[in-house]
Amino acid sequence: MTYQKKNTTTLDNPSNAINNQIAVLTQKMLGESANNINQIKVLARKAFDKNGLPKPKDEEYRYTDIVSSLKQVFDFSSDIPTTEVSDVDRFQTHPIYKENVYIIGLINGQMTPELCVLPDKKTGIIITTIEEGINTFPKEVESVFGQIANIETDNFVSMNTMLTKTGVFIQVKENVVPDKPIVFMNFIDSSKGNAIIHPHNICKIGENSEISIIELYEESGTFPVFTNSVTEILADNNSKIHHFKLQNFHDQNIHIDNTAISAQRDAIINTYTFSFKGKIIRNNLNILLEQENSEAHLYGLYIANNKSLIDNHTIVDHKAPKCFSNEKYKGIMDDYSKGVFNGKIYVRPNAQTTNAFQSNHNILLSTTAKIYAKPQLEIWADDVKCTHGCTTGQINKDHLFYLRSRGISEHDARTLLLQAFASDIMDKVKIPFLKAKISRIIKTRLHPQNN
Amino acid sequence: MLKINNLHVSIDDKPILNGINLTVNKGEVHAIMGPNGSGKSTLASILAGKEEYTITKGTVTFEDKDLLALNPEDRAREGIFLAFQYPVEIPGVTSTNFLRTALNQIRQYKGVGQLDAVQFLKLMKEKMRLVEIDQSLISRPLNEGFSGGEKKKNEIFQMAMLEPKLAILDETDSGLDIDALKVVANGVNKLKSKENATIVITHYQRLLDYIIPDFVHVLYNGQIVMSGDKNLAYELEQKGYDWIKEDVAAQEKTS
Repeated sequence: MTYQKKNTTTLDNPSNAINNQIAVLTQKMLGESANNINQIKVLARKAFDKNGLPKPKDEEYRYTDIVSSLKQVFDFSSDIPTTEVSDVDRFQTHPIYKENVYIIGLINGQMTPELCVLPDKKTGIIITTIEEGINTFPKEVESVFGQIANIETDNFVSMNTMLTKTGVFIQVKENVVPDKPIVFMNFIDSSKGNAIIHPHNICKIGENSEISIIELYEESGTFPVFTNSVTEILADNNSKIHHFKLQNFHDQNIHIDNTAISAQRDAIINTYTFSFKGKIIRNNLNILLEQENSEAHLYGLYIANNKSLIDNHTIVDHKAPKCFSNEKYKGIMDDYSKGVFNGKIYVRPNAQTTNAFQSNHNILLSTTAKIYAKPQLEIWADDVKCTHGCTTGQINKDHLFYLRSRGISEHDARTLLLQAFASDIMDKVKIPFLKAKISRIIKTRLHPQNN
Repeated sequence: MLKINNLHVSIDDKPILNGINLTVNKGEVHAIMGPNGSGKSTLASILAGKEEYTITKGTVTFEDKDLLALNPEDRAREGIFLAFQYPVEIPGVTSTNFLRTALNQIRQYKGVGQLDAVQFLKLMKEKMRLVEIDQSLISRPLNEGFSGGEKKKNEIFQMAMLEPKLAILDETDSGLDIDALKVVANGVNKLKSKENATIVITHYQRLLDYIIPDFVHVLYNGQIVMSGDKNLAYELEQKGYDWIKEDVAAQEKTS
């Protein structure tokens, strides 16, 4: 079923109205400048014209109806509404500025110099807006922009790419290990109206370099927010990346994160995705193991309550021999929340002696919470070690009884057991302030009243 | 201290205990023996408050309180401790965090002040020495990767920490070599006092060489069919359980 833009008989499809609004908007934007990046945007535009937003029956969005929610609140017909932010001061008091980290301060996706704490350029680390990156380092940006993410097949990546205005360009030169983690401090201000944010970040990590990136969000304002972000990372030979995301949004907000990482020879990719709250959180995480001996570790923890929907779609693509991947996602669902886990592992024909492991474990705390878990392994090579495991259950009754028989109240015993369930993912976080921050959220969240 | 009166229990409509009567006073050690499937472990679970069972008849009072009306945590807070036959492994829960939570909730229930971290660690060190348990076991997650013997030692250590009035040892000797058995029995003996009581559930007389019982009861078909002193345990060791089974069968015939 191919979507046709001029087909007036499908008006009942909510995505049509938005698709049309976006088409007009993009036309305006693409007229604004002409460079190689624009060619990528045109490709994305063509793909979006063809595919539009996900349709209700699209396999990849079967359980996650983003379009209906978007249509209810967001107006794409005007330019991206930028919220006036006169008082930057109030963001400067954020606790993150007391931590020993580099900070890329962004307000609604727009890098804001007053909110940045950046490394000296002499250190071999360049951090600029994507706009400046395109102007000053066009070759570097072009080697990554639209090259790693699927701009033609992922609907939301197409949408982001053709609309890209904001975002960050990071380049870490060869043999550089920054002395501190780099925090994307995203201040989202929807106090004066709906916010629609499409940041497109480009990271190029040089040979033998190592970097920790932490994505944090701080929301203010009561109007709904729709974020559709794309991050493309190129990890050069023997580089090492730790990529943390902490997703804890207001109840009405929709967050789509598209992250695509390309690992070259001997590169090691570690991703840590913590998702706690939001109307819809959808993570599309694609790891491409493109050259020999590259390695990926994907860790995820999602704890949902109320009516939150948390959807993790991951792809680990073994494209070269002798690569290793290990994926571990865990979830706790309560109330009327819904969880989706879809983990694809591809092992391409030449990816011999691949080791690929995946596990997904879920605990349902209420009879109305749901989890849709689907491991999907596609293997074309023959010398492969590949395992996956997936469980969904309740709190173990024997464990609960054991703790209670020692005098611990049922409520506290449950909390202890849920914290224990989450602990092996938590233990992967080695940055103290981040670990403390996530622990605090988990502690306040794990107070099950059901059963 | 503990009074079990005509207790009938079933699981999924299948009767397991058929009229247990047992009185345990403070300062006493009772051994409950019996063949497999006689209901020994069920009795232990019932006293600790496991919920899968249905109590069809009878009463249990503990220090004049209706024990069966209390939830498992309140039974523990009242002073009942079950040393499990198969202690569970709980990855991610550290022994110290678990024990400190348990101890402080018991103390809170009793209306005595909570222990701070320093006081708690001091108490822990003292009890570790008492029951001869190694520090390395305590710093690991609860029972995770423990051998059978280590798990049982950990049960006795928890018992030492929580200082129950009534300890129920459910086949604590099963799976222990003689050295571990001695350590465990030693721990139990050191914790014994005039104020507390112990129920030792066991299959073999061996443990009773180290923990000397005041009373020995034989449980069969969900009833206590015979009671005596420690000599009954020796008799069972020599003659097995068959003569008791035959005895019971004969009695049933005549009645």
